[in-house]
Amino acid sequence: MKPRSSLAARQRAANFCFLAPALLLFVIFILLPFIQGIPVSLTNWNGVTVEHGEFVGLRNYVNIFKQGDFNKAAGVTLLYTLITVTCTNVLGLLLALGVQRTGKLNNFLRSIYFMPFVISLILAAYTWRYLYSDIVNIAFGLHSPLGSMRYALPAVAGIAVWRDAGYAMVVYLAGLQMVPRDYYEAAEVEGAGAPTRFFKITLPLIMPSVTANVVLTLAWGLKQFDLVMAATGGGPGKATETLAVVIYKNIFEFMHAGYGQAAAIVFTVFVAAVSSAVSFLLRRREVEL
Amino acid sequence: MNKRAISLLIAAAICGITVLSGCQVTTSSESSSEAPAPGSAPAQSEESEASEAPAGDKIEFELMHLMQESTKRAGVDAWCASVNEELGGTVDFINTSLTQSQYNTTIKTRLAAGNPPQMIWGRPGTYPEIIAAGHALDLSDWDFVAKMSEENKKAACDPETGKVYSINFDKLYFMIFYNKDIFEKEGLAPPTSQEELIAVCQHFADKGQYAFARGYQPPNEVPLTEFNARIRWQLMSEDPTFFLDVMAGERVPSSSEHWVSGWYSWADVLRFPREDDMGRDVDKMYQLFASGEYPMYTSGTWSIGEVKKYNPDINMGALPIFSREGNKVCEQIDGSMMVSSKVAGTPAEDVARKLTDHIVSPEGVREWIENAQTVPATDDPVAATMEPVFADIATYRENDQLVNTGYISDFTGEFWTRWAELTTEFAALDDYSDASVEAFIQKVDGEFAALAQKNQ
Repeated sequence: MKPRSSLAARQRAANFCFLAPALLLFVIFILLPFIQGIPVSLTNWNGVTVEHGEFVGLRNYVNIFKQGDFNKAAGVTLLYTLITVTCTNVLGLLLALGVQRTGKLNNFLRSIYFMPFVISLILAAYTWRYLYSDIVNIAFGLHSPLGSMRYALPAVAGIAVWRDAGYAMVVYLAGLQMVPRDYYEAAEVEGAGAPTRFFKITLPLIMPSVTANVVLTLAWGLKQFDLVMAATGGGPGKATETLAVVIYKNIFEFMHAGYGQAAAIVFTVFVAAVSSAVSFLLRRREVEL
Repeated sequence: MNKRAISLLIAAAICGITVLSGCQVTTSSESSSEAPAPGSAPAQSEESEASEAPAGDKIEFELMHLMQESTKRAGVDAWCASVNEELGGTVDFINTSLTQSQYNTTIKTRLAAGNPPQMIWGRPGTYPEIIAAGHALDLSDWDFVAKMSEENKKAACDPETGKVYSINFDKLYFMIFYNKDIFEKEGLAPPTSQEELIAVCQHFADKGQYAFARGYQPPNEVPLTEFNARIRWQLMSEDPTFFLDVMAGERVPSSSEHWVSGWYSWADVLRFPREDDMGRDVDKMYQLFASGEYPMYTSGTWSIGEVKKYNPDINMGALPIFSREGNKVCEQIDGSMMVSSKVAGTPAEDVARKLTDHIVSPEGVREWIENAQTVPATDDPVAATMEPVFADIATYRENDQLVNTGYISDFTGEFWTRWAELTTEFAALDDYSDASVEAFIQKVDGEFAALAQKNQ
């Protein structure tokens, strides 16, 4: 019989080897560029000249919070995230509850509800641009919300909810199927109604699924870029301009690579902090089966 | 071999492939990322691309530009085909068209990677940073320059050094295009002033019709065009440093009466009942006008080909974009391209010289008019006969209504983008009362003041 320490070491080595490809990609495409961007964020580089601009210290970081565009974009991003996280999870859970029983119809409906998630965000954006402007306008006589300063952001969020609710449904379905039937039977015997069974049994026991979905949709919402760029380009005006779009425009359109890089670093820290905090709070509410 | 070993081998293979795919085999011409001083040719590295392409290999020549209209792309394709025929089919032309935002991103990425296209959209007035960074070749001693008019050459020069950096092949005119058949049927004469235009709009509003086909859905610059055309010709003649002064933070935009008047002039037209203008894109606007159901639309002469694509027989004319201050027509260079400094000393330079010579030749001008259906920069007299709208423009030239606005230094970078966003916001307003317009003008002042401070 092999010594335990040798087995454990081999296990750890094997685990590392399986993690290595993803870790390598993370280091090469995420961590290294992030680290390389830190000195750029301390300069006034315009992104075009070979020389990387002059050292300006923390001026870019100070300007981020003094300038209105970053703060406004932060507000837009948070509102967008609030809408998408709430609606995606509520709708996903409702869909999961509706199709949790196995059967031909439910199996078919699960596929239908999940289908939008297969479509890329860019394609979803262009599809809904057409739907809003041609179908909604002709069928209901309503103006496309993507052209309204007031309704553009909810309209874009609606596209994301339409696309992601199916994914949330799948995760919630997995969680629902882990809940023992005995609890429901006991609750029915005790006279608990459907709402009570949902809030006292279902919801606490599917908290791991809630945590996973909320953290995932939260990260998607905070980092939103491609859907907004394809649907409205951040417009009309700055109505749908998220933080990612502001960073992109500063680096690639406005020749403010140093400022944009600083904004990207602040943005990364912000997203990591918010995601970690939410994940921590939700995990505390999980119930061990 | 057990399963774990197989899994470990697969993981190792994935690692190896990932690492190798990130490694780029550096060609000799890409080994140096140093950009030369502005205007000078790059130093040739020892193993630079051979001055002659290997026998049997085609010379790759990419033109990257903003001409999204299919008619303009056809014009470029026609040029390339002619030059390729002249060069014995030895060139592989790549015609890449991008949107404005895509172009800014792509060109910077390609320049930073040392792999720019051989010809890139722009001229010194619109992309000064590319000139300053040495990415564009000095074309002052190229043959085509001798055939350029002084006016055209001025727009191709870097104002600081006087060197020529672009070839300009296309002019644009900001106009209101109208359906002559609808006007004739309604018994309306083409308006000649802002007041007459408002009367025409009122005529259609009284009949429950929309006077204009519009496509303001972001992202597009149609709203910017509508506002810009109403102020540009006054600023050109009376306040040419306006944009530069605002960007420098030396004044607010509302200090210019023309700027203020422009917003009110545009509001005069936007007040009339409108459809889902903000929900339609610019291509939809062309389709609607081409359908023959809308009397007018506002755009530039680059749109003629796009409308004719949907309805070649439409009987359309062109009007100035009127303002409260007058009825002039803004004329300026539109299509212009620079040559990458990377082509110097390579086979691609010969191709670039042939192509630029062809563009300004009579044959090249004809190809452009026939395919792109826009006004060439050479003021070819034949152009007026090839498209009725061009005849209208020739009439405005005879009446001294054309103002060349190509030399005014525009807003650039973030100022330009914010300007486009603000015009879209203005187009999306629900209320065009004087108070609302005044409040918007004040808001714009604040926005540009903040931008100027940010950029100091």
